[in-house]
Amino acid sequence: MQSMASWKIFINPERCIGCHACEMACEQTHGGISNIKVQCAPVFCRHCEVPPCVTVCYRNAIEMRNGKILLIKDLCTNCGICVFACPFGAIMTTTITRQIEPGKKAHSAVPCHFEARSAEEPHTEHEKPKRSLADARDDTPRERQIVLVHKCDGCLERAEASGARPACAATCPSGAIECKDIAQASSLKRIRTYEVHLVTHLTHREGTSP
Amino acid sequence: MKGILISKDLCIGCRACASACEHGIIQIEETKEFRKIIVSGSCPDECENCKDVCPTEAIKIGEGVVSSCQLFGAGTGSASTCSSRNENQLPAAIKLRERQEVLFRLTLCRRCGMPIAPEAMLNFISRRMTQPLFELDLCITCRQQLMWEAIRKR
Repeated sequence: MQSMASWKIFINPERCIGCHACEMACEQTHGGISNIKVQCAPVFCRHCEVPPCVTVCYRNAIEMRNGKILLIKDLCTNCGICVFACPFGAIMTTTITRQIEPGKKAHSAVPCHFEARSAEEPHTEHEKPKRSLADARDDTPRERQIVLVHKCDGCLERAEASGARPACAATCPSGAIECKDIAQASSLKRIRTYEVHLVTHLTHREGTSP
Repeated sequence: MKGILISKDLCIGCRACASACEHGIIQIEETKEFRKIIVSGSCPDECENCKDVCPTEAIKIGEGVVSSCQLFGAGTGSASTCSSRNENQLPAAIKLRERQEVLFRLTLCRRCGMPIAPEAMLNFISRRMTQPLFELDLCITCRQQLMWEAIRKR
C-alpha cells in the first residue's frame, strides 16, 4: 500500500463531459453525501499546502495529515466558517433533517418540574406561564434541520482499508479526474501548479498554493 | 431549567448553535435576504452544547431572565419579566415562552446576487485569516465557476 502523500489527484477540466459519475461515486463512498460538485468541471478540495480553512477553524476541526486536509467530524460544529474561507468553494454544505428524539424534546420534562417549583413558590402574578406552557408543548418542534459541512477527505478510509485510489478518479470515464504518483507526474504537477498560480493572479488570490 | 440568551452584539449568525442543539430549541429561519436565529424556549436539562460550540461566546446559559431584557431591550421579554429585578426568585417556567430572535441581513454575491452569509460572519472570517481573501463577497457557486473560467481562459 502506498502512502497517501505519494499521489495526488489531477483535474483536466477540458476532458470533463459533465456526467456526474464522480459525484455518484463519492456519494457511495461517503454514506450518501457527495464531496464533489460538478460545476463546469469537478470541484472538490484541492488539499492546499497553505490551507485557509485550517487557519480559520476555531475548533481545530480541520487538520493536515499526510498532505491531505481532513475534517474531523467529532470536532466540527457545522458553523460554515471554513466554507466561506475556501477561495475555491470546495467545502460543501448539505441540509439534512434530523428527528428530535422524544426524550430530548424541549419541554417534555417540564410538567413535573414545573409543578414542583410552583408548589414551592406560590406566585400569584405569574399565572400566564401555565397557559403558555401548554402552548409550548403543542408546538414543540418534531425535527430540526442541520446544514452539514463536509469536504473531500481524499478517500482516506478507502485508501487505508484496501489501498485503493480515490473513488472519483477510479470512476471518471473521460479521464478528467486522474490520480497520479507525484514522482511519475512531476511535469504534469508543474503545469497544474502553474495554472493554479495563474488563477491566483487572475482572481487576486494570495496565500493558497494547491 | 435554564434559559438561553444570545447576545446580538457578539453573535455572527453562523448556525453552529442550531446544529448543536439536540432539542430543536435554537432554530434557523432563512429567507433570501435575512437569516433569523430563533430561540423558542428554555433548556430542559444541563445541556450546554450551544454555548460550547459558539465561536464568539455569544451564548449565555442561566437563570437570568432580566439579563435577557437588558440584552435585547424591553420589546422581547414579557412585561412581567422585565419589571422584576430579582432573577433567582422568578419561577423557571416564566422563561418558557420567551422567544428570542436575532436577525441578520445576508450579504449578497457581487456576481450573481444570491445570498452568501451574514456580514458579521464574513467579518469574523476575514479577521481570522492571515492574508486577505478577496472572494469573501462571492457565493460558493460563483467561486467554483470562476476558478474553472480562469483556467479555461488560459
